[in-house]
Amino acid sequence: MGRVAIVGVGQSVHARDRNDVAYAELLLEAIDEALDDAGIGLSDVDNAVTASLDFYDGRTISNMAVADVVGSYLKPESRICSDGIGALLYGWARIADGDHRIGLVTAHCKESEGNLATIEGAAFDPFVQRRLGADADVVAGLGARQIYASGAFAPTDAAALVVAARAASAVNPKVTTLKSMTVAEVLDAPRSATPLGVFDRAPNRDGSCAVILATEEVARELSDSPVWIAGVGTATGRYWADRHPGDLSALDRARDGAVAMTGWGTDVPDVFEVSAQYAHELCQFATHLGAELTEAGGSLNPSGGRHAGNPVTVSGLSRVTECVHQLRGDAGPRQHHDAQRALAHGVAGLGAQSHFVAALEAGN
Amino acid sequence: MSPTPPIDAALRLEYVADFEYSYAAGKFASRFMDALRTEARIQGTRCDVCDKVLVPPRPVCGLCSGRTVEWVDVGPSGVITGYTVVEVPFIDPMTGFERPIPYGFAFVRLDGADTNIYHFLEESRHDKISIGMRITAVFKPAPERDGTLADIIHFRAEEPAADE
Ligand SMILES: [Zn+2]
Repeated sequence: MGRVAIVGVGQSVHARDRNDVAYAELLLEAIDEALDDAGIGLSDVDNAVTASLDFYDGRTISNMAVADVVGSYLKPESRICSDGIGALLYGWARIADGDHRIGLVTAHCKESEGNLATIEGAAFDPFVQRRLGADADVVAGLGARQIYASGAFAPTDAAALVVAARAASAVNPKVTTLKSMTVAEVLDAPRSATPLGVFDRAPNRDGSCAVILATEEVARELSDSPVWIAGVGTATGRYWADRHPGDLSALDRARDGAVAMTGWGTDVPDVFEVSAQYAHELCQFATHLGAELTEAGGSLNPSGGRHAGNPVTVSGLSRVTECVHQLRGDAGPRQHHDAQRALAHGVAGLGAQSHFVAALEAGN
Repeated sequence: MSPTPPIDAALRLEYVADFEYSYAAGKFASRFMDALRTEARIQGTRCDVCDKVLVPPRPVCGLCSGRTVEWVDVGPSGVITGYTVVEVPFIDPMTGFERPIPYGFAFVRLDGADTNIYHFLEESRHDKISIGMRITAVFKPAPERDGTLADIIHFRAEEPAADE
């Protein structure tokens, strides 16, 4: 199995409404930046793995509408309907097994174009759930109540992460700067589905992300400082309604699978980029990955994470992008000193059913 | 312990959802539609690498992964590269009304373009339609155009059919 490096990363600006671009054009912004970062052209890419969701794009098999911008005509293209970090794992496998040399991994989503209540509602079981009209907020509210009742975390823990994410948005040029808030303001905000308030949910966004993967041989030609994918893991948990939200067996398996491939032993990574749509979930996921919640905005989510503003499908791949900047030391004002190892996390599905972890490292 | 009892009638659950979208047309489609509406012009973009002209216009040439850098006028005439005569009635999504059948539907290679668009044919004598036949776009009058492909009513034969 060959080593796989990340040789280029790019993102569009993520904003509430990118009405200025069609979704293929939105994705092209990220691809152009990633190609430029890698120092290659689109025709150098020999395969693509894309992540998107038809219901958000508003057409079926919507990846076919980005086939030209991802350069996949007459090349292998696969698409996952999940977070883009899942596409990264898929793209990693293609190169690790020796069949491909340079791969493009992308994710895009515009949460602004469809009716979110209808789209989220269609995720529910049609016989026993959908007619009751619940949405993702209701699922999260049910879960948050169980988590807080268990005593594992308190609403103030979650609110502190929201505050940190909003502060970090000011130093992340790829997201809209959010108004700064205090913990009290987060806790006093209108409730959506108790115990959750409107700021517990990450803001809805339009955005895209692209990552370029390469074999070790290609990576050493292209870069003096490639970032290596040292390990990957993924697992899907039980259906949300059948599972206590404190049961993060899937995340644990994904993390253990990724870390077992590295030579890190029990050393704690320098940076954690963790994806969660709701703040109480971020408390859970970050802790299970080994991060300290008090480090939010430092070694935990220096980018601000999804609460700084990334759409569904894109968020996990955005976490990878930030880890790459941190490991290359080019994260600017967000730079966490001398980061050598990082864990990037992504999640997909109602009630955080599927988890993905990528272990990334700098050096030779 | 009792086994799952047999059912008398299999349940079906009807589900009707209104999936509303507000699609951003983006830079390329917006300019394309604006030229149709304001000037009755059809435009494409030229690939900087393979020189092909792509209609409708787009930023990347799928054929060679080159970028397009130049906007060019194409048509309004071209040739039929493929056609069918539709015999089954359905609601025309551009008008909301049933389209009288039969009618012709063609792939059109506009002059100056390297890709096809497809559209309706005016010709009602369907035995006169042929691949390679020259046709030209018929536009709605300016006040009626609204920046959609319906600004082209249909394509008609460039020359009257031979028996006229
Ligand atoms: Zn070309």
